[in-house]
Amino acid sequence: MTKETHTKPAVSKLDSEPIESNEVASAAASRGPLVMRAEGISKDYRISRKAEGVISAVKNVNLALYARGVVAVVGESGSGKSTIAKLLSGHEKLTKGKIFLDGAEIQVGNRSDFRRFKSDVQMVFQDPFASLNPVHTIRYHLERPVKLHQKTKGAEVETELLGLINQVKLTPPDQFLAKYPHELSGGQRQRVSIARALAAHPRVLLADEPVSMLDVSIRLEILSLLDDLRERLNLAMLYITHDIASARYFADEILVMYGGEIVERGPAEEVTQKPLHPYTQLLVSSSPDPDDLGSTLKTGATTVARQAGSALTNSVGCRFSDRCPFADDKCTSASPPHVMVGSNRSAACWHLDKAVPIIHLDARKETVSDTNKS
Amino acid sequence: MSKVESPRLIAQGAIKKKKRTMPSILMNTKAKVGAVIIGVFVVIAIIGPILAPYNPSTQNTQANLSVAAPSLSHLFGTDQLGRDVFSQILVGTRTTMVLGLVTGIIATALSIIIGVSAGFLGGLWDEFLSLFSNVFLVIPALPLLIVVLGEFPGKGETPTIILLSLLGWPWGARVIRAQTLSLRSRDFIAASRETGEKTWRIIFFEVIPNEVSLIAASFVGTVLYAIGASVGLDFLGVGNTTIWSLGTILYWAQNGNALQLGAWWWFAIPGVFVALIGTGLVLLNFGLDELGNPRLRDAATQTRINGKIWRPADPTPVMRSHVDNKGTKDQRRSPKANLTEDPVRLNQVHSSNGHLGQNSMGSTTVENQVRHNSSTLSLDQEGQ
Amino acid sequence: MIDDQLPKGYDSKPRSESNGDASQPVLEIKGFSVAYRSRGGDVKAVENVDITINRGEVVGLAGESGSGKSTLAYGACRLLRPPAVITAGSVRYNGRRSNYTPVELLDLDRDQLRKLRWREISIVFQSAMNALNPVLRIQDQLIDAMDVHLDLSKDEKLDKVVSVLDMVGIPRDRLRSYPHELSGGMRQRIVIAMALTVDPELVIMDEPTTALDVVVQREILSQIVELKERLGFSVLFITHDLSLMMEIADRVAIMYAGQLVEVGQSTDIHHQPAHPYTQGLLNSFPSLRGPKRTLAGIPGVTPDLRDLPPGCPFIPRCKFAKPDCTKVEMRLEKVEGILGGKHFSACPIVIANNFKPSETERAHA
Repeated sequence: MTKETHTKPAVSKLDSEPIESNEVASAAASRGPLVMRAEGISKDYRISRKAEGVISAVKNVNLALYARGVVAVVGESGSGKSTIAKLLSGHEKLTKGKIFLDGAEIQVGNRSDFRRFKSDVQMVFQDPFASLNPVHTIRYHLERPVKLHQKTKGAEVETELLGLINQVKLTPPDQFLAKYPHELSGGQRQRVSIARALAAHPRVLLADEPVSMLDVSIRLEILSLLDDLRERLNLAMLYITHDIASARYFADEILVMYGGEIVERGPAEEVTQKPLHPYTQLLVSSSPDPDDLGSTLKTGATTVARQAGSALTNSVGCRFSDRCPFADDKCTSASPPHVMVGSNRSAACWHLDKAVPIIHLDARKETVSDTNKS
Repeated sequence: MSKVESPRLIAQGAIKKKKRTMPSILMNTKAKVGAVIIGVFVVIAIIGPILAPYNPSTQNTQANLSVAAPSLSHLFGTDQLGRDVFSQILVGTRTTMVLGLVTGIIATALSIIIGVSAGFLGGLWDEFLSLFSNVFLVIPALPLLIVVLGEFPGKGETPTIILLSLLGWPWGARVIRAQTLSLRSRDFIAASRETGEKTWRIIFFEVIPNEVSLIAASFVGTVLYAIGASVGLDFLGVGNTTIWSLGTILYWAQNGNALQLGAWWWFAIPGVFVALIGTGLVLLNFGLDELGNPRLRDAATQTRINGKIWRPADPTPVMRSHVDNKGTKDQRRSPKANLTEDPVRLNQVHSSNGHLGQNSMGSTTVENQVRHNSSTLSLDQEGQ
Repeated sequence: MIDDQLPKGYDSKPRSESNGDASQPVLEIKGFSVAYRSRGGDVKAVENVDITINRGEVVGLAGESGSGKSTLAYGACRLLRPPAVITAGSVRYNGRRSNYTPVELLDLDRDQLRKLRWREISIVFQSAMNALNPVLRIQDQLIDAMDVHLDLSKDEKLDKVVSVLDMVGIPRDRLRSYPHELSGGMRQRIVIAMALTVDPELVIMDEPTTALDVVVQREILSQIVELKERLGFSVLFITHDLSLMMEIADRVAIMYAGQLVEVGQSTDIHHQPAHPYTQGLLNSFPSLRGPKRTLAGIPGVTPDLRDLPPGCPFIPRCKFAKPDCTKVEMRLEKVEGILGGKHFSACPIVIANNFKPSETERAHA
């Protein structure tokens, strides 16, 4: 990745070899067979005609989705997590990289290709109030994908519709079909959204912040509905969220994104309980915790306020370096490779030994300590 | 909708979304009045020529019927040549209304086609169409109309309709383009792409149905423009003066020196007709606008509650519904405006009125409950 | 020494007067009801709510959307527009500048309220950061905010703007920036600074950080708390995020369907929620630390305020509901056997079961 830019031969050949993230086994892999894989996907947005006027929203991301497995992408707004969903769903074109479905690279040339692709990969949108057309009934919203993807007609469509409504647990089904979106609550709308995505009988479901616009008491129901669906329908699921706590409960694997790059990946429980990367640590320590009643918030002990880093491609080094307590010259001059910590965990940081002393002592003793011999 | 919500909107959200009722257009007073006026004129346009007591072009050579004032036999009087103005108006209204309607339909169709495709397809197509409509917008309409229509004398109203349609679409197209641009980025459009819908289907089934009120408003505006322009052209004699329309009646009135002869019925009555049609259309347009843009409606709303009018900027009205017989009502009538800038004085006024806080509360039924509850509720006071 | 740090133009009147101690209520809302007049009759958005905010206290108001928490706060300041109507209650404000003589907000007219609002009670609206005027520089907007209430010279005003921005941690070279040049977190800080320019007694914050990322959220909240400690204002903190509220608030009030269902110290409510709705809410948040719990959420939908069932509005979603619940009068009752005794719940069923948190689950399971 950035081998040439290393200023010092600080790392032995073996260790400096940036470990491609797809070599890190996914914690979701145990759930079922591989369905979809993204390899080194990047997305640049050009904001001005100048050469440096390019924002790299997603940079060299690898991920794999397995049937019945949930992979969560966690990050703050602007970290590029929604762009990943758009890339995987074909709404945005890749700048670099490849996406494979069942081992075959996806080439969306014409519209019928796209429609076939959509039969396999469906997306659930964030805002249930915006994702349903106010002028159409629920029946219309569900009937279209059924007709387009199932090629059914007449009575079959009707059975399929009722089945879908049942699947997302809207009862009584026949009443909901005739309603307009504005007659439903947020949670019910999101169920309709999910039903619409399921109408294509997809194998991959991309959920872009599916619950963030909903009431707290409703969120859990929607998440457990998704959880239930992936089991029953063998769905491979990508869960994009800013709420790392919900990812802990819902996902198998968590990918933490910062500035368009994945900075840490691993099993959900491990990432949330023993975060490696300084950004993940910050994220975890910042999340509200009802158990933290002696919270710093009560006493008003201020933490240092730093601004989020820029995502311009020409910036070299670790993108988190301007907020990172461990940052030094190395961090600002070269971007860190992913360092493997265990078979299914990795983090991209030059100073994992400082960030996670405990790791330094056991799992990563050989490699990490080598990294810092200089 | 928008995330920035006024407290009021937030609070209304608390009560579930308002049901969208289709005849809500009829709830709007402006739209209602406009619709009634236009309705009357549509009826006149349909049955007017049948009701016309005379052939509007039949001349009457009797001297006492030349420029005769309104009478029972000639309700709106007669013109110079003894023709019945009432019949002229009944026949002319149809001509004018049909012209407006046809022009409106053609021009609105053009503006939908161009506006939606420019807004939805974007890119070069958008640049080109926007340039195109801007060119049409800056064409000086009146000289063009006069010159071109001068080339087609006696060809009926068709040339006028065609020309006005060609000149009437750009404004609507711009508005529709803007609306389409904003709809294009909405999630439900992305969702229908996700479903695998074709572009044309997205345009016709997802985008355009959401623009109905805008299109209706644009249509009404175009009709208004067409009627105004055609009356003006006819009045100038540029159009076909052999056909009866509200404009040509005015043209003949002008030609016959109606004003100098004091024949007010000859020019004033058709003038009022034109003005009424215009007013009706403008009201209808305002109503549609407010319907499509609730913010306009909110800004203008004043609410009448219990006979008192409240404007949007007023503080929330206090109307305690449970008033018992202990005279709470009087105490609530607080001293109006003897408070000054100084917050301290502000409170002194109140402390002179001090029982307000303590005693006057709790004498209503609701407040009795309050008293009961407050004994358990002033938490910290009780705790310490 | 605190006063030394205060920006110029602040009131020098000390907050710690003898009658201004911590238990002194700043805002006392009693029996407060707000209804929306509509064709189908009144919609009772807030019904008979009592809540007291004491000096220097952070009171959290939590509930789902539609529970009336914003209606309550805005209604108490009389910011709601018709057809909202306050149908009952009293809202007494009791400030240091008024010599601790209560003012009845519901009796004030428009001009009096305008004087009182920003000066004594200021409000940080939801998504207020998006409401900054895009064509005015930050400093001009802050100066405008204090112009109405403080009579200062131009230099003094500028000094004060600088010090207020210092307080919220914004470098002074940002003074001449336009809102779009700042990040969301910075804009939210500016909005908070704006609410603090005239040194209010009470700041109402309606979801002040909901649109922000957790890291920024935490920074801003700890700044708010720090400022609160320094300047001594009280905060009414409205949010749907109960886990956040437990961290920041001293006392928490839970609202459901326009009514308060539970009030208490945040520790009490966290450890021993005494209303099934609060229990459900608390059980809706995935926890980041500690062992994974089984999360239940709350089944069902929020009730339609136009058509509330008799008795407790939570019945349709409550797993403890009994036939008797339809006869319950919604009234906060003291929850016995709990630390401090400042804990109140509107669920007599749970209270009557000699409420003990550890046993509740077993008792009702």
